[in-house]
Amino acid sequence: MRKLPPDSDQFEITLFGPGYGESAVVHLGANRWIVVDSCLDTNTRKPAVLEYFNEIGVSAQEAVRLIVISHWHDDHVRGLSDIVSSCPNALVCCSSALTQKEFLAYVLNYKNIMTQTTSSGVSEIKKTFQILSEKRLHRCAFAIANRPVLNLPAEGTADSCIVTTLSPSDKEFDLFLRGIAELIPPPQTKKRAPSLCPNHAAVALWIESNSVKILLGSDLEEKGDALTGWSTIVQSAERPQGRASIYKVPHHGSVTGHHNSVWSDMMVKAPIAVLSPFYHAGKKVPTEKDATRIVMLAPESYITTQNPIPKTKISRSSSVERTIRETVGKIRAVQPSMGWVSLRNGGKSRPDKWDVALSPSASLLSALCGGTD
Amino acid sequence: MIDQTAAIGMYFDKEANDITDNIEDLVFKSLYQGIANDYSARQKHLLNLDDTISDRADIKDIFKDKLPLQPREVHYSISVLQEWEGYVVSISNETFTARLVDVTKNCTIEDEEADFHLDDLEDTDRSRICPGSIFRWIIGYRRSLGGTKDRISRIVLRNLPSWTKKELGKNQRDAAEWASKLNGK
Repeated sequence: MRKLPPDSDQFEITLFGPGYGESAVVHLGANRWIVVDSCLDTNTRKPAVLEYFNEIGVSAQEAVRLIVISHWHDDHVRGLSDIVSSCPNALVCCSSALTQKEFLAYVLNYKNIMTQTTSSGVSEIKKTFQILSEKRLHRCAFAIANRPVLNLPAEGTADSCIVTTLSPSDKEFDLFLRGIAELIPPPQTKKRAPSLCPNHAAVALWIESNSVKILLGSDLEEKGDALTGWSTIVQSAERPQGRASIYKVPHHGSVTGHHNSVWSDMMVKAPIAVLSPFYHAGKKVPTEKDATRIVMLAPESYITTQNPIPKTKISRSSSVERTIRETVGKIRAVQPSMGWVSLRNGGKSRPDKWDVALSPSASLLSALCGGTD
Repeated sequence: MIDQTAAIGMYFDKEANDITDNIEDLVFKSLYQGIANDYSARQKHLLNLDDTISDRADIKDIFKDKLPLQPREVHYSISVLQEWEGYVVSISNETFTARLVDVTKNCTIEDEEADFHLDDLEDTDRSRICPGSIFRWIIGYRRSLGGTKDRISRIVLRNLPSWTKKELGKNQRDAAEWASKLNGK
């Protein structure tokens, strides 16, 4: 992990992703940071971004200006309440769909179902929103299409910077609440909260200064509907113009988050792409096909971890191991060591030159492309 | 804890108590811990709510698909070697995939995942399993009073109380109030 903070005029984006979970921090210059989502460090069980700030000597309390809850799925919110508590000066941004009574009723219905896990997605959202509604320390902003939520002036050697939410659209807001309404539980035995797919309330972000443009794709999906997903963003006349040189690929590189026009209309040719994988319930995203598609468009693409198998195996007695083999064959570990990709530019003098630092488990995405490099 | 003890105590009759005196690490300490918790939760539920169940249910009715029909037939103990709490992620024709929290190691996050055969479930559990179902998986040794010893694996779906109209209604009202606070109204 990096040991020093970026210089005042440097931009940085660091993406964390252990295989199930994603979080990002972006330095906007002059020690002004934004945090997008949260996942836990697999060793310390603390929010990865807070561990990172601690490592590079940044005070989260003073430096974090904006916390974005891009959506509410388990893999994007774990540890979020700790981040919100640690950053009382930050503006908190999420889709207003998440603060509607329909979604909050869903949260209350499904809270604390499991006895052993303390951090399911709905429980974490509940804790986070309780902090927001009870302590009333934070300012909140609701994400909608093309809304500038953070506008920072130039400061010292740092440029001014604007953060704009690109989604959700009006139709996505409506679809989200309709979907949540269908999840009102019937009078039957309680179970863990089901997820809503596709995720209509995902918040994509456009970050722009004089010299740098970054697109963070969240888990926003594309369904071929002109009023939702990436279609409505690329067709929008009101969206921020220009082309991004850094792209956080949406939905872990899955084809469900792909839209050709995003690459052709919103990116420079061959941008640097970063993504975190999704290893869950036997699913592995990105697939080799996904990786090949992305590398064709962005040869310099990075993945936070390419190997879902942890190096250390959990030690159990031979009797237990034998029974595991007889019952389920084998148990898959799903929380490998934390992976990250960190991009830092050369400041005002070399804004297009990005220094790349990788965790041991991170790699070029081309490593997943069937041996081709 | 008192509720759980009481719940377990209600289950035993005198003969079964005699057995427990000799077997300290009984199955009930762990295998039925979750069931006792469920019972406790359900009992509170019944005290407060009357819109789904009109008469106070007896524990034997509530757990009739989980507890042995006749307590006096318990002639063995189980030493638990390993225990997980899990939730079902997906179900196919013959198997289900679940995320697991290692209870033995006091984990609080689902670090592991496995594919189980649906055939390994009890018939009643098989008929009601669905994505999101919560279960306990226990590996241990079962010892009979006669001295035989078997290595066992048990998967037990947790019998959580149902949502009720009253509970859902209260959550709706609380959600509306909460939304007003969050939106500054």
